[in-house]
Amino acid sequence: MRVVIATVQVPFINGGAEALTEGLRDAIVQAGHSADIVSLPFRFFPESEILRSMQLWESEDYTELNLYEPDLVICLKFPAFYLKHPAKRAWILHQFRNAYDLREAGDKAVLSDNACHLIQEKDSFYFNQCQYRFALSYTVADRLWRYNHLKAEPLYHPPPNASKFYSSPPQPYIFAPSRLETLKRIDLLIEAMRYVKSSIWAIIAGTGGQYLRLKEKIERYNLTDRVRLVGQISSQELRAFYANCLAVFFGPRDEDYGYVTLEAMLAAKPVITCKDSGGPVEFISDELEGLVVDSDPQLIAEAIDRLANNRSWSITLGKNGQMKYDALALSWQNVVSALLA
Amino acid sequence: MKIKDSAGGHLTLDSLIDAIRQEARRRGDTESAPGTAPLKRKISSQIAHKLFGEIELKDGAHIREFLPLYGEEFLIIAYRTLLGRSLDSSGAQHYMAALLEGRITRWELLARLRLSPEGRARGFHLRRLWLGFMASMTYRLPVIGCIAALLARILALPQWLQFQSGQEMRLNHVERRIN
Repeated sequence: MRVVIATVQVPFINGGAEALTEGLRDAIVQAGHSADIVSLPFRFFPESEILRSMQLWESEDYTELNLYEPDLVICLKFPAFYLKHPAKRAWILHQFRNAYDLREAGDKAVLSDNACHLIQEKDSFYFNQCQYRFALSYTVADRLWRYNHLKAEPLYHPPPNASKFYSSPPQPYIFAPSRLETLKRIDLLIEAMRYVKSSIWAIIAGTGGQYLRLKEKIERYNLTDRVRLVGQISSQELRAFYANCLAVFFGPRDEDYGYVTLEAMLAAKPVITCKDSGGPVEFISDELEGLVVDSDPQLIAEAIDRLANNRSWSITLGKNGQMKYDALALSWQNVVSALLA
Repeated sequence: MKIKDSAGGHLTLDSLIDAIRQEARRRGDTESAPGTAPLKRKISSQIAHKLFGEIELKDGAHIREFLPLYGEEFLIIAYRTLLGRSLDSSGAQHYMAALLEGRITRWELLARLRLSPEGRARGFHLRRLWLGFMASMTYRLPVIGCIAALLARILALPQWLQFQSGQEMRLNHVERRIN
């Protein structure tokens, strides 16, 4: 079978979505099919560029591609869902959230009301054309139901290099790997560290647009000896930081999926997350695989203290997470079987 | 802030980070974590194998091995076989245009690569290359070339008809999908 994976990308941004796209392509090939990624750049600003991108994908007909027509097309991101093909399936990584939940949350800078309604209408129309709809997680499926009244089946996949994670005895630090962007809410951890009573550090890995603001915040709160931004790290360093930490903090706002949760579970570490974090809460139950609290720095600080003051309990929660990961039986084979069925 | 470690010594945040980084180095592997470095796009080894990995010509291979190859695939294998390296973008652009416009035949292109300084240095022996090259050059001769080309086309007619039949099937298939 010849499969095209249609998506969009912002050049030089290499996050979870890019890892997923390549993982999917490799898994389809391993299953004995031909697969290729078709990607176009996506400009999320200004509005006219977003609308142009929608028109561009609407005009794409993959029924015929120079006699190399695909038997099946899997669309991953907005507005790649708009292309034409009789065997079009969607594995929705996320919708264009500025037209949905982020707009509701007050982010109205990107889109006008008209553009927003147009996106919602077209999304519903083209999602309806798909043979099957899958979502990255329950969080994404829930958004589709809430805003477009369409159902999608959640389809989990493993994080990259899942087999390489390992665990070591906990050292006194909380680890928070993340792109440093507003939605990831790393501020919550920095502010929480002001209230943490136990002797414990916070190590934050990753880069992003909020780096300078977070650095300034750490200095402003006199937390330079307690919180450290280590910036870009290698995959091996990432796994080593996971392996040695006491717990992982991951408290984004309504995250689509979040490899961080799964990676912490693979490293047998408890996860401190927030009730409104979306994806992480699908995997972490309070006091079972970690701690789930309101997105309040003082409550996060309390959670950190609870784990720091009871290391054996922290280890138990981490092991629970590892067992839960095993029980989930996440595999690319399952993903490919579902998408190509 | 200093924290007592399990051995009774004092641990600082810097020494802890250093120790973890050393542990990572000991384990090897220095690629960047997702989200921390520019994306490196590459064809995965499985896909590369599936596309071109099956075509690995050995020294002394016959020129007919190139018969089923066209376009970019032909160029990739030609470069790898005769020059021992990947196709570069300038080569791809130059030769692809020449092939598509009919300014050069595949056999002439193979001969050019083989006669280039890189090709000579590699010294790959492709059997019957010169015969193919000479035949291609013959077509360029006035009168004789036209007759030779005509004869060659007549001889290739059965194969061409088979190809056309296949194309017809594909087009019908496409039409059905469109309608």
